Amino acid sequence: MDVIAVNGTQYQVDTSGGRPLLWVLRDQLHLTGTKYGCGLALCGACTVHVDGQPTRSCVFPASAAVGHQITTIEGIGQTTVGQKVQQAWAQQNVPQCGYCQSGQVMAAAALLSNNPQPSDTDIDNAMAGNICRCGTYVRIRQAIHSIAGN
Amino acid sequence: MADQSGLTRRSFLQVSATAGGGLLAAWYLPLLSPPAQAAAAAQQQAFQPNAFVRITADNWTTVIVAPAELGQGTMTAPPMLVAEELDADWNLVRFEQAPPTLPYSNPRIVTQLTAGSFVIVSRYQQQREAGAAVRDMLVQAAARQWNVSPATLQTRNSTVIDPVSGRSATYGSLAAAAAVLPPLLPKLKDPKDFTIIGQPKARLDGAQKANGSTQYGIDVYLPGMLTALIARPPRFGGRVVSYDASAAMALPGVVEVHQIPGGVAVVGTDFWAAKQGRAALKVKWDLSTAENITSADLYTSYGKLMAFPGTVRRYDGDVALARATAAQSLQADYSFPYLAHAPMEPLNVVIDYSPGNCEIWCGTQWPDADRLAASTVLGVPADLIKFHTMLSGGGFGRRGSVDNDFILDAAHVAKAVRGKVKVMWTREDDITGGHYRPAAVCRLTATLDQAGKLSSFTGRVAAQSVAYGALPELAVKVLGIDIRATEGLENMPYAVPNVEVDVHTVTNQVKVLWMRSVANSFNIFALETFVDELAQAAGQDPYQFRRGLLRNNARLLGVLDAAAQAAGWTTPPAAGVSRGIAALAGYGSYIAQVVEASVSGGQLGVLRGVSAVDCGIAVNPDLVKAQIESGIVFGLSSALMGAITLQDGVVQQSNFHDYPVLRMHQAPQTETVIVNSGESPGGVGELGVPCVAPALANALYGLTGKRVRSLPMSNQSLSLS
Repeated sequence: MDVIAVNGTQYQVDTSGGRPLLWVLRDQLHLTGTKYGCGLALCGACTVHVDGQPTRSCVFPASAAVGHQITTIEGIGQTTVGQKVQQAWAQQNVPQCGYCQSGQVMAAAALLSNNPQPSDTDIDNAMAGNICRCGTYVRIRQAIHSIAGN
Repeated sequence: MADQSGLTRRSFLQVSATAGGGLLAAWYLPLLSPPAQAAAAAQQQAFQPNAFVRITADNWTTVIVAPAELGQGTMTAPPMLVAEELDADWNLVRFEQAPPTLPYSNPRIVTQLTAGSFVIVSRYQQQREAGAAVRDMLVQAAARQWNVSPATLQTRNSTVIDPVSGRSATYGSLAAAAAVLPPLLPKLKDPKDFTIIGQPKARLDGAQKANGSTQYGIDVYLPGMLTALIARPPRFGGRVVSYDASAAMALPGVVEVHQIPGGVAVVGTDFWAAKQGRAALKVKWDLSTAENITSADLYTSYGKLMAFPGTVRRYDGDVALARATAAQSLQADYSFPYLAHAPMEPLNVVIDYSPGNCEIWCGTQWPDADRLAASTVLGVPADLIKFHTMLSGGGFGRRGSVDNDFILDAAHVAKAVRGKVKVMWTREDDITGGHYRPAAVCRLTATLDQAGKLSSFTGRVAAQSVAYGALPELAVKVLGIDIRATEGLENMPYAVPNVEVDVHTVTNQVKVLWMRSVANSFNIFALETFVDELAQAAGQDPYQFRRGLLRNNARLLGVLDAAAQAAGWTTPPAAGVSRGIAALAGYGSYIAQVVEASVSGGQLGVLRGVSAVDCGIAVNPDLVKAQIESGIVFGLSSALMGAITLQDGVVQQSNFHDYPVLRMHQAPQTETVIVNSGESPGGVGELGVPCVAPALANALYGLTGKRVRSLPMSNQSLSLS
């Protein structure tokens, strides 16, 4: 058993067998906001922050999370930026099916934390790894701009 | 007001009566499924006069939503219909997903299928009547308490008001008294008095979907639950001969392996264990009768059929005569690949088949059919299965499976496990698992007469049927779900005196299913790019050419003009930019779209998508716009990069690296204009999909001088920048 820190809480978890962080969060901690979409870091639905950096938890070994601060969608609302992103998402009617939005919110929160006034190109670069099959991209862009005050 | 539900007002009362509550609740409750009964018991103080509305003492109104939420806004728009007629305070309205029981069937098709863009079309009248009936009971209750005539009372923001005395009472405080009153047949509002319908209300599920708290089917965890993955045959139609589970069972966390009709299920303590176990499983497959088709050969065989007449779907006038007297004849063949729906939430089903319990959690578009299918495997009567329809992480048709494949597989696994099990699909299982939008080949021909007028049109399609084969023909007809492969051609809107449309229904073992906009997704591409070729042959502007053929179709003409105007059609685009246009009447709605694109060194840029939509009364204009934005991205994904191909029967794609979909930087700017015709609502869930690709192809012609006749465009050395 290993100990990992998720949203400021220490958890004893089983990281054996190369288990990706995603499946520790979901199957062991039942933190279900972080989603499985592809398992190959192609879609971004599983995005969490590892020490503030957006990370695809579906390919990130849980054992590598030991000693780092993990933030998930369940914790990001505790930060000012995360709260603003979640509010903008609801106000702009961004989500449709909503399944990818945890990852989108985590990617957007990481972007805005590092770059409070992102350009369209900055947004494209930061969000390119997050697929939305419902096609909410236009609204995601609007919502990010609305937070930046652009 | 036209009755959009297909129910007469009389039959609504009968439905209400069987579904009614209060004193009526005595009749109603037995129809509820066991979990809903438990919920109702917990809500003993609640006033639930019909299947759709519950008012509690705290003055909240809960709307019980029958259709499934796949992203289209189902948990918001039907509650708006109820709240409008109820005069509910929108800030005190919440939603709850209905169980799969009879009162919640789609009134048009008597089953709880969510598909065909018909949630609002089929519920517009029903949900308003449900709200109006409850309002009427609350007014009567207040009138009795105050000893005044109900006609003197007003309602506003979940409150009954007596304007004479200034008294008021909240709905919550009147609920108990109202519960013993009979519902009358209330009058519905004049649309000019609407205060909620027509407003861009925020989604009721928006906040929970932004903070990760929405529970999808995949998020259900039960104590002691196991997780299963199924090894399926590498080619459609393959069968298990034997399997060796020894290496799989030796892995930590792998607890059981079971053969089921669809393959071999590896059951683990969690997903990771099941995944490792499945990878270690050795299965010997019998592929002797399995599908062995190769995509290129499929197109060739479909193409050969184009020379022969198929089953006639439309026959107007005399095409042969028109051809004999034509000044010009045009013909074009089009080919389209299989497509996977690829909803972001991979398919999954949770079943608790412990002794004495049978409970299912599943994000599905067809819960009553799925429950019935599960009952046949589990041997439990359907109405004793507690079935929880979960919010779905996308569906696009995949979760409305005509052969109930994912629920049947899961039921077989649960029957073997005899406990709590989550049956998961990996993305690879999803992409390779069939139930694709059918591949198709179309041949269109047309003639222009001496005056340059369109004198004849023919359309021929070869494709598998998404409904026949999976369902008995009678069921298809009764349910009204015969989605024809000639949809979009047989009902094409342009005025042409001589028309023939026919179809070759092809069979093979590749499983096919309806996908968002179904046959319109290919036929409208063929039709709308072909119309541009005809305009060119006639020496006319494509927009003006369409106008000339739509003189008797005011609503389609209306959106065509609105889209052209919004896009600035008559103003030349910027240097290096080209525009294309396309239009569609479908789902009771009308759309025209203009796409602006550029090409530079083989790199294609889709710059702008302008849409004009007439969906009648737009119940929530912002949700309408969201669906059109969604349709544009979905349609572009398919047209630009979407293709499932087979080589000797083996699907060649497996995940988003080789089955790509549009990403943020590839999505165009979008503008959507809603043309309010004031007509009854039409559907919008699929409306934005079919036209965007032909509009793009028409724009590309202006840049490349080449017509696009097969999709995806990535096969023609055009990649997206």
